[in-house]
Amino acid sequence: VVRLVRPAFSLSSIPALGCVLLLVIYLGPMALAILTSLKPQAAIYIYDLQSFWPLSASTYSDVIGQLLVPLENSLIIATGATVLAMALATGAAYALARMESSRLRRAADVFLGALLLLQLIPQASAVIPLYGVLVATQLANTLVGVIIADAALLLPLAILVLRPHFISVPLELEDAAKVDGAGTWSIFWRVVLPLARNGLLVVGAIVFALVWGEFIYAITFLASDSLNPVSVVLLNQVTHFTTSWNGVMAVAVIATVPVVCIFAFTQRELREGISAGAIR
Amino acid sequence: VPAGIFLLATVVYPLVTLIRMAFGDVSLSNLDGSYGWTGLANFRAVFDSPFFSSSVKQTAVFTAALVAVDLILGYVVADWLRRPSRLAGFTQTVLLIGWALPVLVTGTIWRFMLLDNGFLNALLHPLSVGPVGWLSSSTFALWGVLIAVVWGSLPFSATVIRGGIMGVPAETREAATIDGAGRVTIAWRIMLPQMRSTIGTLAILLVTYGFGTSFAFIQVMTAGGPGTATTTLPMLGYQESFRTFNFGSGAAVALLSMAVVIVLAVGLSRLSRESWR
Repeated sequence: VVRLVRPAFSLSSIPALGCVLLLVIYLGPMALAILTSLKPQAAIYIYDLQSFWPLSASTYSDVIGQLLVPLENSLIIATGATVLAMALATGAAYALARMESSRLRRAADVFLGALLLLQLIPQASAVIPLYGVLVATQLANTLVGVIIADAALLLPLAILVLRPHFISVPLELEDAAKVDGAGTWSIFWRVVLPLARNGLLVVGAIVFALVWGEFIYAITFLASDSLNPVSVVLLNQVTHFTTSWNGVMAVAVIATVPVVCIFAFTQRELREGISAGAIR
Repeated sequence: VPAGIFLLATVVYPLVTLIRMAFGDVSLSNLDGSYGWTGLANFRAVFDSPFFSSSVKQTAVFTAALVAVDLILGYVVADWLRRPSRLAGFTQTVLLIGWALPVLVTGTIWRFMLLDNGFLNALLHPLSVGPVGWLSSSTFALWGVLIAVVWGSLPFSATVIRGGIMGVPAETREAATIDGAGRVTIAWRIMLPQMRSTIGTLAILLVTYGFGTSFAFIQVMTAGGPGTATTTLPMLGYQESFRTFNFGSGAAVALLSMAVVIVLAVGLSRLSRESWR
């Protein structure tokens, strides 16, 4: 029997109500964080808006001074690791993409499987031997050490997300260039890379954002305060100075700004990456 | 090839080092590689430690709860977001922002919200509940962390499950509705069997999340405490190494937790391929 008349409170309004509930649950904490960063110290645990109006951004001017060096460190680490990871990932992803359409398919499958397996290793497990290796190579407590570690952490992901971009570059174009007498290197440089440029930019931005937020390697490998990136400063504040939450939240907001910008720029790719199973 | 070499140098070599450390007498002074071979001594020390069994239990409870909650809530949320509309689109964007926030920031916000005098307890106060020691009591701390981890991972799970739902032909679902099947019956009898590979993959990723990203959350929110209430296996390995500098037993724990993840992941992928036939 097909019911033609719907009851007054129909099941079809559940999704809309659900969406509103989700918006409250997700926007609420974000709004609270921003609000807290704009409150005076005395009002941190007071949620009645009138009692601490007007809000002021003075907390930001208090914390920005001590953040300049950390911001610079974060920028160095994130840029370095992104460039390193992308340079290596580009070659690997292109090679993988082309191996798949040749007799080397098996080898490509094995390599892909290995990459997925590497993705399973918990960072907490990787950090222990990496520290040993960095100490042995005298790279502990240097930004270079952190850059290498972060690049290694994100390289498998970068390769996995880049690969489809190279697969989508038509083989015919390369063949045409070959007929015109171009060598493998110049085909890669002149034909393939420009066509995959958007993909490279987006994946690079994602890698950058992830390195920007990374703090386990940074806090473990860096011992001097002057080398700390923003993430480590935030972690230290959260774990040690938990009385001035307005300052903590101001640092958190500042640390988040680049990530949210990158998110806006890469949203579509992120969704596709999620459904491709490469990003988690 | 260069990437292969780099991975060899930065991943495979440390892996070998990890194994050597797990079977070696490593300390701060000989960390440069001059430590000797001690066989199973580290593992014996770990198994004898009173913290080991509790951390295994906490890891198991936490990971199982994360997988269960994310799959169930993920399906509910995915169902809400299924039909394209402006509201659903906007909600999905907001959710993904929540997911894309650095773990450090999400952990910071939730640590603040879950304080004894924090926002969540302030919300519960009029209902004369609490104050609950979300992160300060050893009974609740693991669940307090779980709230934050679910908040951070649910958007991802829901997006994956939504993709799976979209893969099931709409006619199948409509036919079942006309036959009078309820929402739960549809989910259990019709959607689940057809989405088993999606759910299997997601379960693997969530287990990985439980061992990997959750460690970062715990580091920000409780650092394993109060006491050892939120010391999971990865956390135990880290603390052994970098708080008490027993790198040997730390490496042993790290090796064990890595082995557990890989065994679980491989097992799950077998299971999702073969069951429900």
